[in-house]
Amino acid sequence: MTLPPKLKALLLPLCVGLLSLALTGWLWHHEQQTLDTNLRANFDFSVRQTTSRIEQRLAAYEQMLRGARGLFNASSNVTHADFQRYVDALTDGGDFAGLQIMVFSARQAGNPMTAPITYVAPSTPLNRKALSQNLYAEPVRRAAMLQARDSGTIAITPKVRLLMDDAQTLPGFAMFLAIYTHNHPVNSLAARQASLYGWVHVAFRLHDLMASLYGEGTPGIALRIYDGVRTDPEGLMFDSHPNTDKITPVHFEALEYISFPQHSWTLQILSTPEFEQRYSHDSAHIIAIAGSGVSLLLAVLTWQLATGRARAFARAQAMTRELRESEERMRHMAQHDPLTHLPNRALFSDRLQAALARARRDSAGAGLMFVDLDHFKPVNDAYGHAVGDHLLVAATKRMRDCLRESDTLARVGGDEFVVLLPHIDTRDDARLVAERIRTSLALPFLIDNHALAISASIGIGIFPEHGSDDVTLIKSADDAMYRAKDAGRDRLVFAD
Amino acid sequence: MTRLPQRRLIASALALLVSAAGHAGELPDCSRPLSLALHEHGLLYSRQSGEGIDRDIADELIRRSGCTINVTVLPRARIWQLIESGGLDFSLSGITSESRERFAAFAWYFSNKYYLLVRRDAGVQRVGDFTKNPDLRLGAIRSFRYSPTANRLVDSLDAEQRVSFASSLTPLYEILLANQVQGMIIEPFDYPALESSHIRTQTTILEFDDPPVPHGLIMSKRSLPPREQAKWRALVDDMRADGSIERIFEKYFKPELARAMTRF
Repeated sequence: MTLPPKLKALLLPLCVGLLSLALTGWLWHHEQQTLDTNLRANFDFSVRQTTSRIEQRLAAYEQMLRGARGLFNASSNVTHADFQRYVDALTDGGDFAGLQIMVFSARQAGNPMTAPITYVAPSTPLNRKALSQNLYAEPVRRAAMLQARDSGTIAITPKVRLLMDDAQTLPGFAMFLAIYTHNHPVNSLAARQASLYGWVHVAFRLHDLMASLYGEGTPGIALRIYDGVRTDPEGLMFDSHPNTDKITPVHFEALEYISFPQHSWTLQILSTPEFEQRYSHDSAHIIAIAGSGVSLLLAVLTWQLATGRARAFARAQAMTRELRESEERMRHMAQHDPLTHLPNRALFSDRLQAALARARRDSAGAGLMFVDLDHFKPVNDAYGHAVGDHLLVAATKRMRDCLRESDTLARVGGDEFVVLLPHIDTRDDARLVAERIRTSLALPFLIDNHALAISASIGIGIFPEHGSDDVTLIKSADDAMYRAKDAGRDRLVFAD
Repeated sequence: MTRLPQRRLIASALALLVSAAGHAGELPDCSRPLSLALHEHGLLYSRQSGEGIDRDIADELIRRSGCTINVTVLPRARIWQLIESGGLDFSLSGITSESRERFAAFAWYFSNKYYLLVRRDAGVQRVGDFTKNPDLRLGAIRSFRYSPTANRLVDSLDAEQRVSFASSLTPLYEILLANQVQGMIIEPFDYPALESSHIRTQTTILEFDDPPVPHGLIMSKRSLPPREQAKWRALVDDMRADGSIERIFEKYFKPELARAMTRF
């Protein structure tokens, strides 16, 4: 199957355009994927950073309790004042700015169900109210205390209300570390249970913990912390963006779990629109728009290149044709009368010489007639040049109709014409033609609604009888024409 | 065989023995307190009881080396960060990877396989089924690496945001039972947790088609020079050679499994 040339010319540009568009599409897709990957990597980094900062903060709290344990290990007689000085020293720095209360609860040797708060710090009126309270009596705290005793490490309660807080305040949590009797072995569960001296315990609110984190939070990241592994509203302990539910859609969401003995926290980390605005940019759109534009330009350029040769060839052909036509026109103008399109004097002269040469060679005869239109000037003067010109054209047609194809009619002056009859046998042949012309011109003309009457005075010369060359033959015929005029016009006269 | 090569062979073997004996006999440098972090993971270490395989191995290392080693409990991800920075000298039961080789040295003392624990209602018959179902999520411990096939599973699911990370195993069991994730990767240390009736009735175990992966003492290359690493490695090799490692494992596993894990 062959394609039409127009379609064929469009095929290559179309292919180039489509290829370029496909490349643009691939680049756009690749850029989009890269952006997504980078966005995801940034989000993952933020998740790890957030989790790590909270874990580090919890580790710092643990260190604080271990420091207190160190205090009790260093001395078998730590007083309330010693304990307060230790806590005061801690709060001198800003690291534990969120510390609400740190207490020491002594184990009661005679009563295992009792562990009253013995020391409190900082010693504020509110904190002092906690003195003598029995934490062991509260099941949630007791479980953490036993956990701390048995493991020798940190134990954290689930969400609790702090000792000094009322019901309306924000949730908090308590951290326990067991203190063992000075110089007693603690290398087994039984040994730890037997050596228990008491507990040091700190209580924090989640908001205080979050406020005291090292470093800056990641912009565009919302964080919720739940107690337990479920993200139920009841378990919500902290929400950095309380209105995040109204921000939709969330592009990234991750759940991370921080575990403690017996329970866990769930960190729900969400990206907000600010996150995407911060890390994404419009390069994919720029690629799509620029690539589409370039594809279009490439298609047009390819069309220009592919069809350039054909279009240049067609243009050259047209110009050659125009040149040829122009040349023809110029040649015609050089050899013809512009009004009647009859050969002019120069062309007629060539044809006459050629006809005489042929007649001379063939020893044949030729006739030459000078035709002068009578009464033409009055018409011209009376009706104007336009009517005169129309009359000349009409007269030319009539004379042309009286001639053979091989005969030549030429205009050599305003109202003067010559007729070459290249093939005649006798002077009667010329007379016959001349008579037809005279008769024809003697009939009236209707030009622009004007009935016009002219006639013709015709002088006839015969070769070789009236001239053996063109000059003498023309002179003979011309003289004969003037004699016809002088004889009263509307007649034909042969040369002498 | 001519006499000359024979002599050379004997001399080389003697040199090797003398060198090995030198390392084996030379105790690590205890001129500063060293640090070792445990991580809570099934039978390896339980915060609740303060006991576990890693605790016993740490105690044995302390006893044999005579060094002061401060033992702490940290999340696994934090441990690897500290090992890399040189802020921590040792940890236990670590496996290697290309990135870890750059900052950590290892002294192997056991090997084990990895398994995929999946919920029965997840419709997973083979490990590959898990990846195919986009509704299934995996629970994993942040920074944990496993056998090659298990690593590929975790990485591909993580790329699709289908992994929930935790700092230890405990919350993973909870979210598995709550159907928040449908699978998690386990090791033989996690078998006791599987004996809980809730988990046993709701889950099934699929095996990864990988050979056992060696685990060992993790040493920070930044804090311990190669000579010290060699001494600690020799110490661990001694513990393996005299059966101490196997005896520790026998406290927690059946003898056949303990033998299979420690003789590799």
